[in-house]
Amino acid sequence: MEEDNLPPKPDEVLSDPESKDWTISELYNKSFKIVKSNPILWIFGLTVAGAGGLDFSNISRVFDSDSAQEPITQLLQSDVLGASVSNVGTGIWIILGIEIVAFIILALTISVIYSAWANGSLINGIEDTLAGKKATIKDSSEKSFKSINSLAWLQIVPGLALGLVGLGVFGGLGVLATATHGIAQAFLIILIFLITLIFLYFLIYLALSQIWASRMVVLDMKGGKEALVAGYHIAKKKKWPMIGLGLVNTIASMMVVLVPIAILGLLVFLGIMLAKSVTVLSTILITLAITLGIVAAIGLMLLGGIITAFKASTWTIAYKNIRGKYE
Amino acid sequence: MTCNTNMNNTQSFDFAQDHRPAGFWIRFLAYLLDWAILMLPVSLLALYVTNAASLQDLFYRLLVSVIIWAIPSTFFYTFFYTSWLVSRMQATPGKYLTGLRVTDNNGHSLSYKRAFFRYTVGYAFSGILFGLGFFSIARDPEKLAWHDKATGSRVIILRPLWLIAILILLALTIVQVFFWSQAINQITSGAITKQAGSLTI
Repeated sequence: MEEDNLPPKPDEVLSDPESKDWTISELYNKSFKIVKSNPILWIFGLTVAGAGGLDFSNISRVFDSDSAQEPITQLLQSDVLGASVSNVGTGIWIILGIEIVAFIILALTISVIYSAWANGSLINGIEDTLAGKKATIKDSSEKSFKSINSLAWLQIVPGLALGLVGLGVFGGLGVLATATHGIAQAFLIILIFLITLIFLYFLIYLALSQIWASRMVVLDMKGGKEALVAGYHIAKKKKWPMIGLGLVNTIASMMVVLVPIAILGLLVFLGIMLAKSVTVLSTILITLAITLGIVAAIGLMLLGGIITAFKASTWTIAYKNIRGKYE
Repeated sequence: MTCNTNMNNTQSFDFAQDHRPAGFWIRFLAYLLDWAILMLPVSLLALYVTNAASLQDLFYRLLVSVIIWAIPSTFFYTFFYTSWLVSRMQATPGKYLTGLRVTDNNGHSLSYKRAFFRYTVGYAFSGILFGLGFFSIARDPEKLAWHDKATGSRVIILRPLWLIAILILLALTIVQVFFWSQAINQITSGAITKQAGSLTI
């Protein structure tokens, strides 16, 4: 009776009040134990973080060349290069263009395979640990080969489809909006705003669905499309607990990473502040900051891998708790 | 299923007993030899490029070098030099000349797909933490790198040809040092330097 009058625990607020499939504390406790005792998961986590997945918001980085534009422009102003460029036949430029495109396609393909394999291996490693076995590179990797195709599909196709649709819709509406005036333009702007909200809705659900879908592909050997649809159904029912867990994961990982960065920043700041007065101390502080900075860079890389493995573990345990319930 | 697993484990054990695994240094030697072989076309192209008569000619020759080797070499290396040769001959030329072979855990050749995976994703995985995956060969009891574990492969010593490998590496290095010194000589004493100097004033 007295227990009924107690306020709910903070982590229970973030879980589904009707059916508690998971609690944050349960996920964090289990994930901490798993990740702490399996350094192989750190390596897979680092690989996943490094591979970054190939979502199409990153693809623009491939073509980012703002910093390279200036020296190239200066060079182009030179008569010598201008003459050199004009002397080269069109055929050569075409061949070069084809080779560059082929190279980019090869690099992207390998990147997608790498990311899919790393994700699959990480999830398999976590699964092995949950089953009481030790995670190994050999076992985790061997099992993930079967799911590479489906994971690659999940990474590319939904994002690409959404991106192309978005490009078409926003591009078309944007062109119309610039070509019209007055009430028509205002109407189009409102329409663009509403479609943006709908688009965001789909983006959020896609991200949430892919979390479950990747686990279904790896652990239940489902195809990419089937897993995405099933993942969407679960995401619809569990969206608020998922958003809650995602937010907690993000805040926790930011706090873990910010502490060493803050300490380093403080050392550098103190060194600079003392530079004018106490030279020896400021030199020591800055040298210490640089040395620690190098060590921190390596440490932060590893920490990134640990955090990625930890987050993947929370989602995998959450998935195992709800497996088969909402499909 | 259990029977097959036991048989595979037995075969694996027998194979491992019969063949000495290749350690870090001999694998590094094979890697250097491969690198020296692949750098030969680069050295020849350096000679070609630096033999340009003018900056315009230099630009054109650089472009041709990029088209005929710089970009195609990535495809050559990825699809043929590593994946195809390892799946057919169980070795790249460097490993072959060093007496090493790349096999699966039962001593058979890797499939093309697996060899491709080993030399692309596998190598990227081994290199992720400052090459720790490669250095792990030295500490692993079976001399396996991370990319070996990830792809179920291993490198064994078929014949200890390390001395021949060192001699070939030395010969290739001498040849390439000669080519590169000629290339630098062409650049520093040729018309290109004078033309570049007149542009910067």
